[in-house]
Amino acid sequence: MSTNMMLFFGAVLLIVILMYNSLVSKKNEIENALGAVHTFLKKRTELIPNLVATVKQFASHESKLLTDLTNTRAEAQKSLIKGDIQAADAQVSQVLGRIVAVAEAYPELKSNENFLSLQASLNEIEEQLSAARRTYNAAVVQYNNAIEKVPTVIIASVLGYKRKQVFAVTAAEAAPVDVAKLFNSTGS
Amino acid sequence: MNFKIKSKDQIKEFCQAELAPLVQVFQEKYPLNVPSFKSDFIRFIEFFILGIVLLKINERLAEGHKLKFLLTMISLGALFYSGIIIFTKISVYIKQYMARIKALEALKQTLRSKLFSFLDKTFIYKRTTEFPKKLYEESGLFPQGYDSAHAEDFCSGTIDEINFELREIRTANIETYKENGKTKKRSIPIFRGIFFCAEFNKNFSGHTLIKTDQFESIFGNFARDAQKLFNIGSSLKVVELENGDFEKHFKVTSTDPVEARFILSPTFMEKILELKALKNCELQFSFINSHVLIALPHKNDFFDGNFNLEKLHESIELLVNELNSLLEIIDVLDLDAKLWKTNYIKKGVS
Repeated sequence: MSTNMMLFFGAVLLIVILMYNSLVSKKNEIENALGAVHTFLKKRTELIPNLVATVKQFASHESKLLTDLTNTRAEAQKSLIKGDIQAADAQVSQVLGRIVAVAEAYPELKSNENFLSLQASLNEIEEQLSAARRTYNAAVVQYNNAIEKVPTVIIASVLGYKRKQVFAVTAAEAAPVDVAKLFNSTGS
Repeated sequence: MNFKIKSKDQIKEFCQAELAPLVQVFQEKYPLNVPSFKSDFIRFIEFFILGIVLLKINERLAEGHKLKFLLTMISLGALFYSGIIIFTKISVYIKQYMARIKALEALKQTLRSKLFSFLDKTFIYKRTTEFPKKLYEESGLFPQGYDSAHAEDFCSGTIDEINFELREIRTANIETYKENGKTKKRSIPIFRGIFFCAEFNKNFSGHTLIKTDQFESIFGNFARDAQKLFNIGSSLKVVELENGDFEKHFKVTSTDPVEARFILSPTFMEKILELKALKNCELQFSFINSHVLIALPHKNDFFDGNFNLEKLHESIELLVNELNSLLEIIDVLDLDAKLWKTNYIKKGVS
């Protein structure tokens, strides 16, 4: 084999290795971003017992909401263990929205330092969660682009890489919050 | 946005009541009149001519004449005295002039300090200040290093529970070059403008940089791919954001992409674009230790320009407008919208 041929095959091999590594990196970036989403969801779910304890002090007759909170936490934890991140996210988001709405009806609860602190923590986690979701979506878009574009599509199809879904906002999450309905659903 | 610390009337009133008397005292103590040289100049001319005339007469006297020595001494004395007259007058004038300049600098410092604390009791102004070496280097905005650095016009304070500080800085590299066989030096500017630092409204531990991206607006996605390629090995990773307009103007790198997006929420990206449009210059941002550092290039000196004692009120108004235009950064970026509203205020910006 001539030197030129060897150089040519060497270059081709190098390009293939680079493309393969790039695909693997993109795939791992998705897993990494998903890990971040998972962490923040877990952090948010862990706030629920403290919220229940604080709400109980000032709004003890919101029994339905308190039960829902506790149940949601358990369900969200199960979803997280199963890896169903979207479901865990939606369940907790909905019930936390109800707490904020209920707090409006209890001035003492609204001005309680513990509750304010929890609300601040919640705000921060929500922002971090949103950032993690956006990071995940950006990683998925890059990965999907890579597995569909030439020439990486060839290696992706050999490796059996499939398209991944971005973190979509559910219809319920996207809809404006109906505060009145939320109040009614708490049974107050 | 219409960020104002004090109204025009309040500033005018303060100017008349507090600053104008200081200027009046200064003007009385250090009048601008150039001292009259006329009488001294006539005396100088008289003695100078006398000295020259006597010297000429002396030249005509025969060698060994008994008056020769006496005439030489008198003529030299007259010339020396004429020199003393003019030298004394000039040195007294220079001394007075230098004292006036020094006093004027001190007055400007006093006026600015008084004005700044009137605008807000937390505001502190210093004409001279140390170059913020640590802040500048840690910001990562100018990784190329520098040979010379200068800082002045320091201002710090608190607005809506946000601690901030800003100063005017200049950094440059010194380059040596050969011209006509001689080695010469020239200064290559790195940055000149305002270095603004404030608490950020979110907590973070990593480092995120936002730099002006001239290439992406021209070369589009190709430039983005090239950025990633050239960024290999750097501790800061290129972060691609959803806002196309933002991506066109800025390049974002961060130690943590999730944290970068935590800082750069969609709303905050819009606010940065709004600030860029407002300032119409190449803004650069560094987010580190829960603080935001902003490099705002500017060709002219801030708080200095035409500080005219004769038109005090106009000068003060100009200065307040300059300060307002800098502090509106806090307003435009909504830095006071803290996630943690409860007692989360750290003291000491840098």
